[in-house]
Amino acid sequence: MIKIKNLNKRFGDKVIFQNLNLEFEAGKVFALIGPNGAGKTTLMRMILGWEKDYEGEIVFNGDIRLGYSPETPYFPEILTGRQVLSYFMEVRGMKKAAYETESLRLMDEVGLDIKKDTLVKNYSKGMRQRLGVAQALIGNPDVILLDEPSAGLDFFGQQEMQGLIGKLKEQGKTVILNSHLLYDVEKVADCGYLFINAHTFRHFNKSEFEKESLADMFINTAKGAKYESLN
Amino acid sequence: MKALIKLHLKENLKGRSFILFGILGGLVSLILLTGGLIIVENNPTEEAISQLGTQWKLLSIISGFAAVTVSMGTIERHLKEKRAELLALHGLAFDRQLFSLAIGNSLVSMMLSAILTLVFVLIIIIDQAPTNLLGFTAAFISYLLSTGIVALIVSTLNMFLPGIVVAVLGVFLVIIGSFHQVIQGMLLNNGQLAGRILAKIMDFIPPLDVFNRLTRSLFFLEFKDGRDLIVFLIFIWLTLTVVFLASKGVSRREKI
Repeated sequence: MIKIKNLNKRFGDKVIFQNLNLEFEAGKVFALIGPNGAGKTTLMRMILGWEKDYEGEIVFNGDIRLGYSPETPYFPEILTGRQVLSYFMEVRGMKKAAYETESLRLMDEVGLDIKKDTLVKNYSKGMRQRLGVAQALIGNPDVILLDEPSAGLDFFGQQEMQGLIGKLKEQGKTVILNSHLLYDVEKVADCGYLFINAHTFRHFNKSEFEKESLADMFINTAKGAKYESLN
Repeated sequence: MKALIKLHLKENLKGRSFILFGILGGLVSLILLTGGLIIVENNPTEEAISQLGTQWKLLSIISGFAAVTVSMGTIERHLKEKRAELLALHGLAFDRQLFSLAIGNSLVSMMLSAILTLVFVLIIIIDQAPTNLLGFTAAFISYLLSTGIVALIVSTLNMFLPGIVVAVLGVFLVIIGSFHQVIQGMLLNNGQLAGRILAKIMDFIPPLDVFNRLTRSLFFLEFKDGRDLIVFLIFIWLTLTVVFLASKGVSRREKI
């Protein structure tokens, strides 16, 4: 569905990606994991077309619609959750009658239907994240990119987010998830990519992290990277 | 674009600002009315003209400051809060976002300027000022548009400079602009090279005093010379063009 070919990216002297090749297949939940500064968010921004200064290719298989929920989604505080969705739909040029029903449907989809008329400023962190996902679902995207969707959420909030990602998978959506919460990733991801630095990254899938926890995989890969760099 | 402008108006038009500007405008109008600041010997019509003319001048200066306050940090905030990327993903190009915000700032400033004139309008009606509905409406529109120009310029500055710098520049622009011709005349009379250069630079500052003269001439039904109107219309067109081009330029810089 999305292929990254020979990607090279640097910020000044720091090399972020060197000759990176990877692929995101349709209908799966992908996790991007790794330490801060490894380039996970940068990769998302490249896929979204916001980071254009790189070498290599990002190939989309056909006309793919993208949805995105940022780590700390900004939503106008003076609007209710439903009005926020209506606002983005209006920006997209949807007709009023269409966005009034669609916003209700999406609020219901992310479990915010009972809070649809509550002002966003009164939303908890978890509710904002769910609203972020609802916003990402506007326009029925094929691929949904979620940047740290569970960051700052309590246990119940994390569980709700896991449920929501599971629901998206059931609907056949491709989800690319950037997360530091390895336990969370193990619950929802089918596969993913672990980035340590520009030279060290690996692909993993569910069967692998069922045998070896992601935390162990992370540590072992990072150790290897350190050893490699010392040599 | 419409959705963003609507939201911008909703976010900025707070009841408190309206009440504050209503009171402020009322105070200015009442002080000038009762304070007897303008006295023209034994000529009540001229006294009224001077008084009402001064009202227009003062109100347009306060409106200019309001436009600066409203517009000084909006574009900067828009970029900082990462609203732009999400809106771009939903199909609103970044340059159009910036243009919409500048227009939104302009509309908010004009609305606050309109509130400033509430008591003034009452005085005009009660005192039966030497004007008619057409004259007042034309004057009112030119007064609002000149405030709108200030907001557009300040918004454009905020695309390149931080809000605090823009605030200082904006206040400077309103003060200099309100006494544009007097200052430019003084600089030219000075005769020195520096004075002539400064006078030339002043051509880029909106001549708010010329706009105000147009407002007063329309209000007092004395509009004869079309030059002020032409300068005014050219300035509106130029400002909108600059905002449009600046939005395009910043959009390229930010690569959104």
